[in-house]
Formats: sequence, C-alpha cells, structure tokens
Amino acid sequence: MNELTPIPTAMLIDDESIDQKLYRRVMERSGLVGNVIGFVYPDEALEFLKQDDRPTIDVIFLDINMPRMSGFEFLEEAEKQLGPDFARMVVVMLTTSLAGQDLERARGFDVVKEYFNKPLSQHHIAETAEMLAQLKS
Amino acid sequence: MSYSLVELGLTDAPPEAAFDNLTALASDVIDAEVALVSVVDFQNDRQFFKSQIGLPEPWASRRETPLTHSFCQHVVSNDAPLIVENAPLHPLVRDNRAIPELGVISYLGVPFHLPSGRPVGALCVIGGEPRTWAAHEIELLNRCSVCVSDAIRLKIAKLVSDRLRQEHRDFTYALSHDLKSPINTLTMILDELTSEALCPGGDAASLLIDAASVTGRMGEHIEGLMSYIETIGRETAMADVDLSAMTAEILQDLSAEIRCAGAEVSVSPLPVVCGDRLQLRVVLQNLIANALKFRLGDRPLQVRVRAIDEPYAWKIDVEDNGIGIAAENCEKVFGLFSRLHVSNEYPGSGIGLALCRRVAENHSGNLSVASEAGRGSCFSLTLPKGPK
Repeated sequence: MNELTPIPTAMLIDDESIDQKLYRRVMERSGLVGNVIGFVYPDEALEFLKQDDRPTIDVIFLDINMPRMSGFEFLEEAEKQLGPDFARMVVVMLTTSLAGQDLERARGFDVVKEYFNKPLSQHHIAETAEMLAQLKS
Repeated sequence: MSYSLVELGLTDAPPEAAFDNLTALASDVIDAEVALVSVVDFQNDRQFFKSQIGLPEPWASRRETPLTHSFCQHVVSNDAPLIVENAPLHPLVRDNRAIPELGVISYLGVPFHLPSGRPVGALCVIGGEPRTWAAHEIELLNRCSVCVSDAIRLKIAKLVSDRLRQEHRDFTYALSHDLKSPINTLTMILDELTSEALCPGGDAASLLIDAASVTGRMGEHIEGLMSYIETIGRETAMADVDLSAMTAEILQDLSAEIRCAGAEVSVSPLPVVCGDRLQLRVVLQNLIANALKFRLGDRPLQVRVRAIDEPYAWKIDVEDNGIGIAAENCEKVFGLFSRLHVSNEYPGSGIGLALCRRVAENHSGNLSVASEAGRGSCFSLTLPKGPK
C-alpha cells in the first residue's frame, strides 16, 4: 500500500523524541510518506541498516548533533560499512543556519541530496518527495 | 594550563628569530665564537639547541647532544651561572665529552626560566681558548638570558590565547545550537497546535505537555551555562579546602537523590588540599551526582569516595557500580555539551564533566575516567600537592 506514496519508506534519526513525534505528524499530514522508521541513536540506526532483510530506505532525515555519534560520523560509518547505496538519499536537518562548517561538511557526502534548516515543515517534505522522484526517473 | 617543552616548540622544533637574535647579540657583545640557547631535556638525556651560532659541524646541523656533552645541564641543575675559564682544569666539567668533541675550553652559561620560575635551559657563550670572564660580561649575558625567558613567556601567552579563542568559538557554536534546538521544537509544536485549533478533536493537551517539557529543559540548560560561566569566569581564590567536610555538605545536599537511588555512599577520610573552594565543590558535587544518576536499574548502587596519597599529588576517586562507559566513549564524556544518552533516558546538558575537567586544569591537575560498560566507572581527580 505504501508503494503508492511518493516517499514509501523514510527513516528518522534524531535524538529528541518530542521532535520525532512532531516530524511524524508533519509527515502524516503531508500524505507523502508511507512508513516511518525512527531512531534516537545513530549507532542503532546503523545496526538496523546492516540487516539483510530490511526494507529499502528511500529517504533518511538526519539530525547532526546527537549523543555518542554525530550525524556526520553516522554518514561516514554507513558509507564505509555499507557502501554509498545504504539509502536512496539523505536529507540533513541543520539546527541553525549559522553553522557554515556543518553545511560544508554535509555537501561533502554524495548521498546527501538536500539539507534544510529546522524546523521541518510540509514544504520540506514536498521538496524531498520531488527530489526523490527525479532520482528515480 | 601547563605546556611541555615540545608543545612550547623549545625542543624538536625549527629555529626562531626571537632566539637567534639573542644568541647573535650575546656572541657579539661578549665577543665569543659560539653562543647557544640550550634547552636541557633531562627526561631524554640530551640538550637541544633552540638557537646556536658558531658551532662546528656536525653539531650545528644536529642541534642536540647527549648530556655527556653538556655543560649547560649544571646551570639548570643548580639554577645558577656556571663560569669556566679553562675546562680541562675545572672539577665539575674536566671529564665532559664536549671538551674533546666540541672544543669547549672557556664557557659562561646562565639559566633561563619558564614563567613558573622553573629553569629549563642555559644561554651560554663558548670559546676554544682559556679565558677570564669579566663581571660586566656575566652581567651582560644575564640580561640577554632574561630576554630568552621573556621570549618563552610570550610563546606561552600566545598558546594560552589561541586555546581560549578556540574554546570561545566552540562554546559559541554549541551555545547557539543548543538554544536554537528547543526553539525549533516549540515552533513545530505551535504549528501543530494551530492546525489542531483549525480542526479540533486531536491531542492538543499532549502537545502542551511536550511544550512545557521543552521550555523546562531549555531553562535547565541556561542554568547549566550560567554555572559554567560563574565557575570558570571568576578569579580562582586558592585556599586550604577540607575535602572531608565539603563532601559531607554535598552528601547532605544530595540526600534526597541518595534516598531515591537507594544508594550506599561510603567516604574514606579525605585530605585538606590547596584549591578554589567553589570550583572544587562543583567537581565533587558533579561527580557524586553523576554516580547517583547513571545507575543500573536493578543493581543496588554503591558509591565510594576516597583519596590516594601519591608522591606529588592527591588522587580523589569517585567510584560507582553504575552503567559504566564503553571504552570508545570515555574521552567524549569530557567534551563541552557532549552527551552519551538521549534526554528521556538520562537527561543532561553535557556541561558538567567539561566543567569539572576545566576546574582540574585550573588547579594544574587533571580529571580522567576508568570505566567498563555495564560494570561501573571510576572518576579520578588529581590535584598536585604543590610546595609546602
């Protein structure tokens, strides 16, 4: 059933569970997202991605500042351990627009197709869906 | 903050104009063939020439010799000038290898110092013939060596200032991030509440509860920052601090937490140390509160505070049998705003241990942790005893 939505399976990696709850609401209301798989620890998301029988992940919405492992460390480890195709695309969510160094670093990863400043809005989801459609065609 | 000879660029580092100018000046005004800024590195059994003028090869290129070839080591050991008119006849150095191998016959060396007053090397002038050193020559060399000490003082000031600037940049970045983050969350909550208001029937109440918890956390975060600035920003006021009495006070303050954790806290006799009362209290309070916080749900918590009397320092251990820390995360816990857990497992701002380590450094000591995940942690605060 979810195959019909523009973003069939999204993964959320953000250490704030309240934020995750809000992202899910925004996604649900957009009607553009099928399944949402959420992790508050990036290392646990990485373990999940290593499983053979996991679903294909279309988009990972990724926070940067998290406990134990930062979003960037997650990207490096995922590329190293799983190759560049661990997800169709990654969207990096930046907490402040002031952090030029974070933006530069996000641009360094091929799998990162998009980045935006929080808070996440309907508009961001729609943009992501459009970009995913372009990647697929 | 203290720096090693290597960090100061005094050993294993290229020559620098500030020192080369002073050896050239000393050699000129005293009319000696050779002048050296020799840093005596007892640990590695050598002297390193931070600057040299007039040395023969291969020494000019090697820029160091073993201590068997060093007159300057005596200047540093005695923290006093060494005046040698004719080396083969001088009781202290007549067997020194520098006489046959470097051709040192006459030698005049005076110590230079770190800002702490510790002698670390000698500025010396050397000749290949016997020579009587005049009082005004000794005085001239002394003045040059004060300039060497000043050049070192300047290098240290630069290092400290660079470090503080970097710390300030990190602080501003982390601060803007951590205060922007709850604002983002609140913005989303308000958006959600707006759509609830337009189309009622949902869970506005749960959104409001979330909003209150976000502002609560934001408030705690700002409190944490204030305590960081309060603790670090003040002038340190060194005095005798009775750690036993202080720990008793802290346990009194934490009695509710101790009861709640069902913890058994044992405290062995602790020493009186020299330190800043407020800062040391912050460290002990944080370490004990952390031991209470990061406990394993089902294992009875034991916390032990004790002191170990080491030759030059007191080591204060705060040990627990809580959740422990995986090896790869042991250094991370000391990073400013760095956390290992999401806030609904173990809440926190990531300020406490960064602050504690900073206090330890303010006391020329350090704070480290030995830990095993699932078994417990032992945080050790080392405080140098200092001169009595």
